[in-house]
Amino acid sequence: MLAIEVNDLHKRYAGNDVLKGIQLHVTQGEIFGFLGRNGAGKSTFIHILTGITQPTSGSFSILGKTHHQMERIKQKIGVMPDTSNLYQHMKALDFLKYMAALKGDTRSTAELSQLLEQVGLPHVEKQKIKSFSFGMKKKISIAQALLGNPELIFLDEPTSGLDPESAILIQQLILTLKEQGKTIFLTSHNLTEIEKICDTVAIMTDGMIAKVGTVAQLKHAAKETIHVHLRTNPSLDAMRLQECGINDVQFIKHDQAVSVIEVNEEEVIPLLIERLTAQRVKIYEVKIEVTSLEDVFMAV
Amino acid sequence: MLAILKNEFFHTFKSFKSVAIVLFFTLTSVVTASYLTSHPELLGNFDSQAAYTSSIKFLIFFFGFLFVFAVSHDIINREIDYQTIRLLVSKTSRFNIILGKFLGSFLFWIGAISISFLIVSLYARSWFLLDYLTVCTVLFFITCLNIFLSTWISRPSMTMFVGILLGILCPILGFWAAFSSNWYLLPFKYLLPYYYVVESNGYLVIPFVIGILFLAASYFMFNRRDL
Ligand SMILES: Nc1ncnc2c1ncn2[C@@H]1O[C@H](COP(=O)(O)OP(=O)(O)OP(=O)(O)O)[C@@H](O)[C@H]1O
Ligand SMILES: [Mg+2]
Repeated sequence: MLAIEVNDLHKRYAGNDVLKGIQLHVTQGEIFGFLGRNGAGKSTFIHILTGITQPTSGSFSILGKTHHQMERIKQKIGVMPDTSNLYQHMKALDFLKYMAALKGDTRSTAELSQLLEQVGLPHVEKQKIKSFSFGMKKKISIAQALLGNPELIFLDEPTSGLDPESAILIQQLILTLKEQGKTIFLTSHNLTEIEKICDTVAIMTDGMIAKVGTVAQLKHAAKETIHVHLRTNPSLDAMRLQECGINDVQFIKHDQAVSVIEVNEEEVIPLLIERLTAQRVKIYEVKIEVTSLEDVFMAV
Repeated sequence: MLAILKNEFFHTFKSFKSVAIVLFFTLTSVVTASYLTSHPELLGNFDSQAAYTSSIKFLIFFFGFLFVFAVSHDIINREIDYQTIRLLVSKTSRFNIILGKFLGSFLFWIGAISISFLIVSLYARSWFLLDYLTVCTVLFFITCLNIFLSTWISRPSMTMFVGILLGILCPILGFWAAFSSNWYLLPFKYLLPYYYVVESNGYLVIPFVIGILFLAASYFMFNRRDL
């Protein structure tokens, strides 16, 4: 059974087509990363799947329930929406109690405190949310998404605005949730994070899914290029490179004592170094740069 | 649904305005009742019992709209405006949200009015069942209308304004229309509860039904809205 199955989903806001036929499958038990530029429609997409917004047309099903069975779906999902607007006047623990009651989650006060600790908010039970920092609000917003033991969890930018330590804590929490067999659908603008924790990634642009696949697949499909940065004496140029007599190498540029050479496969690198050394070129520094998710992202 | 009901009830209870209004209710009924008990000659020829509840009825009929709108005009739209509604709507059905919010605010007012009736009943040593039902029906109507306005109008500052305006106009137009047969007052006569209150008894079902229609309309509007 698929966690999420979306068919030709459209959303129009006052004459503005935000989603133009989204087609997407998310397998159960994976961490699915959803990327796209600001305003691409990521949050809108999550809102539709979670019953916050109505689609203009199209259909979807979640964990085997169609979008006509939204109330059944709501029982199986947890949602951290994109805004961190919460009930300001409530104390942290009271807020979680309220959210737990809505979900029919009967965990005890001690267990709720434990949940707060899990998301990196120890000793704030009695603190009003009004007095929370931005990052703290994010964390409690993640905590409420975990109530009711959901099978599928939507996290809209869970780590944006978090300090590096907290971000790592949340990433680890997400990985733990995956180990427990849960499916996680998250958006993020942090590509390193996506690359680190996501199994599958989709990139959205212009209201459609431009690319979808594992991180490795996306990089591969983007025609993996390898750039070799070399600091040498004497410095390199196209002529000297040609003298090495290797096919499939291309001189790109020479910049601040470093030459950049593009090779189309890894195996060429040792050969290149060998030939250069044979030509009495002294090599002081070698740096290899492979296509990053960023390159893939920028290319769509 | 119960969670929303409870939350709304205590939310209303915690606001200064509502506590002040409830205290005012209770005090007025205590003062009226104790005054009447110590001056039985005032009751003289009148239908003596009716005098006891007159102050509560007066307050609800003339200020009920204003009180409820002042305290709860933003009951729905503050959550839409502030987007906290997203936390609710992704967990429970929209029907439960409307019903929970309605019951929370309705029960709050019923609670407040019941205290006053209880006090008055203790003084007068009799129950005022019809008066109590009448006041409850009017409060039912008002809280339903309040939910409707708060769902229909999305800006809290706007419902505040409209609420105050209606709070003043409804009793005036309503009572005027109840005793008039001017054609231009007919809508107010049949829409607002005053005419039915004056006719009393079986007529009290009508404001109750109109209230339910307001609730249903609120639900259908809310159900189709992007939040
Ligand atoms: N309620 C709304 N009414 C009208 N337009 C809207 C509404 N919500 C979103 N939009 C528009 O839909 C588009 C997509 O917004 P959305 O919030 O889904 O983007 P996003 O991909 O989540 O962006 P970000 O990375 O900044 O969070 C934007 O152009 C936005 O202006
Ligand atoms: Mg967003």
